[in-house]
Amino acid sequence: MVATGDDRRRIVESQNGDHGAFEALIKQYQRMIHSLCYRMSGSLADAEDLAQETFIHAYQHLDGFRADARFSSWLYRIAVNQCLNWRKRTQRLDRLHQEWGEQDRAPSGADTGRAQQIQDALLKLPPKQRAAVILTTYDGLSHAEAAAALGCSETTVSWRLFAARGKLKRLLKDHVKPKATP
Amino acid sequence: MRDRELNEVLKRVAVPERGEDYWERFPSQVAAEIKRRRQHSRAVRSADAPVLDAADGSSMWSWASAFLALVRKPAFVLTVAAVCLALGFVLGSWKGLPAPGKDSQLAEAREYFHELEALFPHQLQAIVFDQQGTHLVLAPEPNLPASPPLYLKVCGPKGCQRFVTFSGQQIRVNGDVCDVLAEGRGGVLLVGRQLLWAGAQSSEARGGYRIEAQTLEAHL
Repeated sequence: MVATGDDRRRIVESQNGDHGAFEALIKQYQRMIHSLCYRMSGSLADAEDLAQETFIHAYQHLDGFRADARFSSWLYRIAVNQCLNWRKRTQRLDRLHQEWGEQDRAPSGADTGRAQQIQDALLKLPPKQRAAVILTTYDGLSHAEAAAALGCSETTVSWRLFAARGKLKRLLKDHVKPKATP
Repeated sequence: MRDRELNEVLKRVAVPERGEDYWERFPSQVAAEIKRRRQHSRAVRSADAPVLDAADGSSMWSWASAFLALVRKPAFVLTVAAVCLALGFVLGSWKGLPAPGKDSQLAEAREYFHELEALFPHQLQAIVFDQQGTHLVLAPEPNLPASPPLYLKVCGPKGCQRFVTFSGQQIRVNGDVCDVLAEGRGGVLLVGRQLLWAGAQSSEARGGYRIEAQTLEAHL
């Protein structure tokens, strides 16, 4: 997969110092990167910081982007690395608890509680396993694409997913809705 | 729970929505931050730059003047001499270093071991590296006793295989199932139907095999 024609044009323009072109790239991919960062961190505030750092890093290293790659995969890789290197764990946990209390979310109380338990289960996974689950389950990447984003082999992605799924199944065993009997 | 059911459960968590104004604002916020950092790094660079008296503004002349100013300082000359000596020493002793291929193989084995041991604690029997790739041998239950990991390299007529395994486990060397046993002083014993080898260092075994065995941790 290669960068689309629009992406390629905007990348070249950004490399030539056109801020507008880079802002257009951000607009196109910001939701994808925010979602990834939110699922990795469990915090809206940290997701915002991580997404911002991802795009800044991308801008500073645009010369290193190979035109035969997909821009989204390249961004994924930067975002995953930002999330894995993220060291403000204690602060994150404090803010996380605060945010879960403050966020005004639409679902009912029971749904909110369940959603929180699922997000908590994700946060209990080691970061590399969590990244593998997020990229393949939520973002629909193939094992090969996830391997490219994570900078490891497909086999490693499979091992991480296998281990992560085992843990998640144990943690979320009460979340399966019983099938309706006829 | 099946994989499909787990996926359904996971997908029930939606990312909290942000307002449209946030998405409108975010790109310009990033662009402003890029600009701010660039200005900051320029300011730091200009504050650190040596003050030169190049009145004509030519950058080449400025650099030449800066170089000449540095060369006149004895501390600079001494530093350059020390760096040259150190470089000569490093290059001179370079040939004495072990082959980088062996080190990278050990580093790879170590990396795989640490990650897989964390993923499958007390379940890992062996990691096998061969021409087909990397394979994992797991016990059905996570009940293996803790023991120091061993690193083995077995080269035979059909190529080389590398293993990270433990004393008491079995490995398959070109089809022959071998027991791996380690003794307290670091010696390793390989016992198979066609292969019997004991040693702690690289050595020849019957059948044209060349075997190396050592504890993995000794090389960390």
